[in-house]
Amino acid sequence: MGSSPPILPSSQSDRVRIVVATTVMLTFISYWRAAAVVLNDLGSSAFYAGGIAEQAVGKAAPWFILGVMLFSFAVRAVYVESCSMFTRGGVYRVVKEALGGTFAKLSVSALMFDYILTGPISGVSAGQYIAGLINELFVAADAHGWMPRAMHAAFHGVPQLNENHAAAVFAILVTLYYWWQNIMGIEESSDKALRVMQITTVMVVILLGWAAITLTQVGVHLPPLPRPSNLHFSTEALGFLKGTNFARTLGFFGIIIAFGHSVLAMSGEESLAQVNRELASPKLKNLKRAAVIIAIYSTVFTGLSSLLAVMLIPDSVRVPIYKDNLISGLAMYMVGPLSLRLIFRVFVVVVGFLILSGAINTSIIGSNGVLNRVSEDGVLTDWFRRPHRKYGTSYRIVNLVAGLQLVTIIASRGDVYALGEAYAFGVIWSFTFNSIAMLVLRFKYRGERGWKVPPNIRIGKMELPLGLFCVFLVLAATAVTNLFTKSVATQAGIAFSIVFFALFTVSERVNKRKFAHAEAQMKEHFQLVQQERIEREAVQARPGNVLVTVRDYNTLNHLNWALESYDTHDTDIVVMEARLTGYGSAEYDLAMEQIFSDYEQTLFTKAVSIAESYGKTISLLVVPARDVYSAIVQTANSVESSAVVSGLSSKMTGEEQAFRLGQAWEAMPEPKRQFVFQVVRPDNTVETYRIGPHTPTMKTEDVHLVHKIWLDIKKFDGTEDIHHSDIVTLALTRLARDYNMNKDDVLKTLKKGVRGPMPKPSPFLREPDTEETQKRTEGPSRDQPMPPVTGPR
Amino acid sequence: MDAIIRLIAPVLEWMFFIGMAGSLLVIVISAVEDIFTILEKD
Repeated sequence: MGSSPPILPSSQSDRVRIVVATTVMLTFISYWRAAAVVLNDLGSSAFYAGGIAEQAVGKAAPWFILGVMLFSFAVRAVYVESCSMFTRGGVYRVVKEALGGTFAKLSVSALMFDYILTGPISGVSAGQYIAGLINELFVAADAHGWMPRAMHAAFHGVPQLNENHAAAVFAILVTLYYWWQNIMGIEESSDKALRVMQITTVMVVILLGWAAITLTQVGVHLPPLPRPSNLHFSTEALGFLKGTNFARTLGFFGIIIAFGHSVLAMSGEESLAQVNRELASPKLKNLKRAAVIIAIYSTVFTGLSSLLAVMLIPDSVRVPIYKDNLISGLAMYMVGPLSLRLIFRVFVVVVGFLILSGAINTSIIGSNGVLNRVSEDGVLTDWFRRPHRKYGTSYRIVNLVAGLQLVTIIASRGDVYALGEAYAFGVIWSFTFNSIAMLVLRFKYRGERGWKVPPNIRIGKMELPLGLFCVFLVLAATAVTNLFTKSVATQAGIAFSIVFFALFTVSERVNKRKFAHAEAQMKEHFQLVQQERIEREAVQARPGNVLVTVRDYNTLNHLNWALESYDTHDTDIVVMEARLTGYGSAEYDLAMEQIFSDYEQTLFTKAVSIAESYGKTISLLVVPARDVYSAIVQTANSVESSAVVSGLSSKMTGEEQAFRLGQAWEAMPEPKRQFVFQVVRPDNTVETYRIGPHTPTMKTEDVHLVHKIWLDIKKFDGTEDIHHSDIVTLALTRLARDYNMNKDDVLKTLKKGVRGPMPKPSPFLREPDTEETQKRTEGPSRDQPMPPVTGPR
Repeated sequence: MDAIIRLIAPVLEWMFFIGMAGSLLVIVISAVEDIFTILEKD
């Protein structure tokens, strides 16, 4: 891959050269993990989609949920095609390429409506499951006489929570919890997603197995077939059509209305485009595999649980009692003792809590990611992205998203049905925008793409995208129908979209003016060099240089320390900013102005002025990244740094920072080189760690022991060529053999400590205390850091 | 509202049912392709 030429002519060498990497540095995940991340969002709808659909269309609802899940295979195909193209999916980018900025802003407004509502609906649904369980436990306790009489008397019977209010309070508390976590900047982890899906799978297997046994005893009674005569719409489900003559004889149009009330079952497909870029190679194959897992899993879980609920839970209680916690109801109507059913119900509530509260977090992270992405594209002003002083997170966006979610929860008063109806608006319109954009791109970009939605018919030179067109027809028909039948969702969705559209449009104008000014300033002070990948030659640094990571322009004392400690005649200093991007941003290569914003300009201006105050030169580098530690080790490797200098994190100790860096180093593919990591505390004391494999520090008695053995061996003939290192080699070879033969025994000995307790295992080596906490009292020469490491040992 | 929906409903019905028939083709053909993808070695 070649690099693009510099933006400005290199003759203007008085300006500071900044290398800007345009490809996001990523850590890759398997298709199983990718599927787990998507299913955390998509699978959560199983907990509420069935109940909402039945309230709207009647007992035939499960067939429509199954129909939607089947249709989701086709929607998934559209996302696979969009991901396989150069824009690699993501509704905003795809729509912008195909239909331009105005439609892109509209589509992202609909997507934001979807994301913001994911939080409240998930939180309220989790609250409904918990409140339902508490009420059931009160009833069970009362039936067994375990309820204190005073309590019974105080509540005039069995105490019962108002499920809607309790659910709203619960949703508010969980939203506040995740709001604070996101302000502090919690890590997104595919590990957590995988673990939640493993627990969910255990629940799904028990649920389906137990339900099958129950069906053999109570008999199979399928719900009424999805015919117009079997549809019984509630008055809310008809929306603006309520009271019209047309509503009396809906006929086949009723099928579309019922389908429209069930589409929220496939919400979460957009996440597939967001995790795509992080998929390990072979990317397209793994994307298809992940998509198949997602589609089959969600069809089985969401589709079958809705069907079984209607088959097993009696009509008299299904909607009146279990409409908002259908899977709990299913647990209570299995065959078997009550205690066992209650235990399973508790398990269902725990799983529901895990997956639904995870969805609240995903919604905040997703909204933050989308808004950061549009901000990088100049559609939202930099004001929103200003990092938190302490935690460095885009707290203003997090505040905005969490604030909107809290208002939504309070306005809904814990009513899952109202939230679900509104949620469907965002879901269907973001799918529709994506499919029409893909359709337009078929004619606009005729070049090769990784995969195309089949079937495609060729007439002469023209290829007609029949399959894609059909998927678009279904989505568009459903979206337009929903406008008529979901009055609250239509009003709320349109109002929300208009507000966000106006915000994006005004921001874009403000940004254009600001960018023109910033560009002029940049031309005056900086020379931007765009590089797809970072290479040492591009940053004009010699091997063995020092990489200084910067983030906040208020805390640059570690840069001061590096400039004082290193002589730039011998060792070059490269100042690097890892520009963190969310899941969404990794979908496409970033443009220069997206990466080098006002913020970077302020940060680097300050860094340059510090360097000038020491009379030293520095190289500047901006790297977009998903994981800061991964970006640091990859960059240190690419520019052949011998040391990395960072400030102390506000959230971690120096040791924790080194541990994370060590883990990222272990995950990096070969070839890789070790380096020294120095954490400079605010009081200018330094902790030093070696990252990667290193010569272990040997105790004096071990050195003596090796020497004693060597002396003893030397007494024998033919041992002239044996050295100390041969003794260590033999000892290690024997240890490796013993370890292979009897792992437990070796581990037991090691844990006990051969001579005293063993140090904690760690991917890095911490240098002795005398060096690490050395106070800077005698000027730079005294604090000269450890000698540079020039290659793996 | 009555007049508008009477005008639009038949169009939406045609869109939906033709689209559904085509989407079934999408599902079947891509399912066959997916089976080969899953069985294929990397």
